[in-house]
Amino acid sequence: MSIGVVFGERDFRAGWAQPAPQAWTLERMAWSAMGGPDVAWISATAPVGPPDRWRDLLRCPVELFSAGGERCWWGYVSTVSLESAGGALRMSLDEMRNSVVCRYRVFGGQERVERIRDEACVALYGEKETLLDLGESSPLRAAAAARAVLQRWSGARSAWERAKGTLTGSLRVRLGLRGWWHTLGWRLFLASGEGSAAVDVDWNANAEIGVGSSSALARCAQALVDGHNDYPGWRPLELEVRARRVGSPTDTLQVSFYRADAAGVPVGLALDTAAVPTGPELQDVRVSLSGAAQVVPADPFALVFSRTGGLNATHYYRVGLREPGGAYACLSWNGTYWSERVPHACALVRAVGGADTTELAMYYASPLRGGQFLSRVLAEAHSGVDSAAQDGRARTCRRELEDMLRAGSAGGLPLLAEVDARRVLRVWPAVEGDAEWHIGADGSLRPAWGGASAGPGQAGRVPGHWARYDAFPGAPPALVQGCAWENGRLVVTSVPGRGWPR
Amino acid sequence: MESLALEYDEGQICWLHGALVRPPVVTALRPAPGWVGDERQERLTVILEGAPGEIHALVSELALVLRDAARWVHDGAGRPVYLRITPYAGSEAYRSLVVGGRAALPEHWSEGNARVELAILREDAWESAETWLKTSNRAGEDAGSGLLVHNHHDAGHDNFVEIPATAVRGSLPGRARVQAVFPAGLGDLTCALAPGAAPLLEAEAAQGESATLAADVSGGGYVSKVVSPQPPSALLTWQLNADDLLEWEPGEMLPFARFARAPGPYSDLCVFWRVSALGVCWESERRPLGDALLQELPALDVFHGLRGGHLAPLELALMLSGPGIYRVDVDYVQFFPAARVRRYLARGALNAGGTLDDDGCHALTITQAGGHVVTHAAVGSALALHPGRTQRLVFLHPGAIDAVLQVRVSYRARWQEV
Repeated sequence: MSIGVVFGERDFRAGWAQPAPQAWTLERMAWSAMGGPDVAWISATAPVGPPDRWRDLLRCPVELFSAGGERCWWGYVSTVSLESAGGALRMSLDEMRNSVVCRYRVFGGQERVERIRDEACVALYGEKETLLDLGESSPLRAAAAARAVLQRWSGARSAWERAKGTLTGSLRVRLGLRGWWHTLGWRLFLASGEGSAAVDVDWNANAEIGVGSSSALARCAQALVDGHNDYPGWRPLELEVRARRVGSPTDTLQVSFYRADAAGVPVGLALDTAAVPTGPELQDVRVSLSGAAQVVPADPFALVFSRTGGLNATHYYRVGLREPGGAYACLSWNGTYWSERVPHACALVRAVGGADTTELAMYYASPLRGGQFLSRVLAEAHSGVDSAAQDGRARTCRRELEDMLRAGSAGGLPLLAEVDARRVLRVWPAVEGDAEWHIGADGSLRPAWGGASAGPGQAGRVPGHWARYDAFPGAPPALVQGCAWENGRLVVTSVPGRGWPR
Repeated sequence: MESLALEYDEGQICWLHGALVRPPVVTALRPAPGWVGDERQERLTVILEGAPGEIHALVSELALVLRDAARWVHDGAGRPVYLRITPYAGSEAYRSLVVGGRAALPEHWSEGNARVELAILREDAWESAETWLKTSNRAGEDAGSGLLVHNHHDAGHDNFVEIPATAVRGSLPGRARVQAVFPAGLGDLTCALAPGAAPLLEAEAAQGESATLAADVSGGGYVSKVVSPQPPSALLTWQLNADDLLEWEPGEMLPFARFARAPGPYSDLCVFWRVSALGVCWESERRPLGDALLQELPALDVFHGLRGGHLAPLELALMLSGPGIYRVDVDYVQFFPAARVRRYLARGALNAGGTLDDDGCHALTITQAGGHVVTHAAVGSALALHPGRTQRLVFLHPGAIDAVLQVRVSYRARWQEV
């Protein structure tokens, strides 16, 4: 099937080009409910010419148009393959790595993460990272290991230069295209404590403060702040504190979430409260919150300890401290005002929580992280499902995003995503509805309303919609997760139970 | 058969039969052509008389021409070659694009006399000579210098040229050539061949809307609204009665919205269509709304989901969805049939004037001061005019609303048999 093809500039400057030959043949074009355009292969016969002009198309934007002029697929050139009577050449961005993230521990020291990049290649194609987990190592050894990885792409370029002289006669050009969604897998996401806040001191108590023992120690408070300013607002779901009881108090120690002013002083009413179980020894205790409060990164909040019963100098509670304290000091309440504990100390508290998966999707896909080529990210509605950044794991932003999408929405339906032709990532929840498509015994898709068979222009509008199997007319409709245009017809490639297309 | 020839290199002709043949060609025998797939195969016998060197030279040239023909069709190199025929005395000449072939001398031929077998694969169609069409719109009739086409369509302006039903001959759709002269720079240009009027909905014609008057918009007015579309709400709703729907073709339409002011930019605003008629309601895909003056909206088939019964009145709503407050100034929305759109995508900034020339085959070129520059990439099938049908060639581009194009349309009538 012939197809209209236009190529853009790698740096997204305005304007399109259509290099000869103009007669491109569409071999296959696939779409996915996760990201929209997935992969496509186009081919053409080209006159003899410098093969480098085809290599120069790598990572350039490309759009495919049907014979009717409808835009039917878009993405970037990922693989260039040239075949001639004399030889063949191939170069693919799939094999490119131009930024190596080395994670290692120096002997007896802390874990270190260093990035070693091929700057020229990054400037040309964008950043594509790979992780080297080196265990115990040194900066010199890490750099050497990284250079070996970077050298592989240089080797591929050299192989191209050596082999291009073998091409003779007319060329068969095959281009492998990938949707922009794939570029979300180019960068790694290494969590650095997003979605949590803790006091910035060593987690070893060397002091204590009483709670409910006297009017001068009626309550105590510790302010925290989440410094990941571009992380979405999150709901604190769990607190970790260090506390114990003194004597045999019959009431309960409780911890409450408050907003705080710039000095870390609690303001307003308690937004969430949880009981803290205590024993006679100072111990770490984890308590769950209801999730009613919201932490806004860069805005301080305070955790306030109080007892449910009256003051008692014999039976009361104590909270573990670390002296000297960090940015915010532990405060005590004397019934009238908050005052800083002397000497300066921090109560040992930590809060962790979760954010809406659609908010997290926007975070992962921002230009600083996975979305280096996206123009913007648009989440149409909240999913109603919370998730958290996975501490200690290094995965690509695409893996993180796909997990968010698979988690679906609170209504039990999956989330869908598409990167449109202007490179805008849109995330939205699937809507339950009638089957709009029928799936034949051979996997072919046709409209349920009985119209003509779907054309290539409609291929992108099938994933994320419901379809019914001809063979099982009584079965509930299934959500089409992938489809492809091949051999002149539209076929389903993935529905529930058959796995995802990648 | 009055005459037969191979035509190449813009008018160079190698006569194979007829009064104009030159030695060593004597004549050619042409049995009824056969089929090879969708193409026709001509098996010609060309009788040559002359010096062996002349015969060899001619056969070599024919072989080269046929090889170039194949290269032209398959990889854009070589040159276009046509088989040209005048079927009977007094007939017009027709041509058919050669897609391949070979020329071979017989193994044994007497010196000075040879019967050369020419196997020619050609398109299954014959074309007449190029004819300029007398197109018309309310600016008048094209007298040869082109017709004025505006960048919008309202009571005083047309953004199309109409090709009368009687103007297009042939038994097959004929390939059109479009030349559009533009006085200043031209970005992307979209055109569509519509069988009738391409439906156009003025914003101020929507239900319950009042126009904001302005000189530089279609119809002298547009609708400016500040909306908070959470949950999604209709920005504009049009009622389409049975007469309105006559203009709508079955199948998908590509809507292009023209804004009086570019929206936003907004990062979280989506646009889609909602169609409802007699209790049936369905929605199109959603798309993020961009910040351009002219934007392609989600594709729409107004008859999708309406199964049987009466269609009209039909309510067509342009819906917005987003969590914020947005100002949107809509001038109009025009719908192009999705299967007949041809787009000229600008290859880069071009500020000067020129002529956009699309012959449907070659790369698109602009002639400026006698030169040719490839300024646009053309996508979508070549424009093909249907014989005996009134058609409109409709144009839209993101330039100023009062920008004009001077459009000329020519075509070659196409015939299955001559």
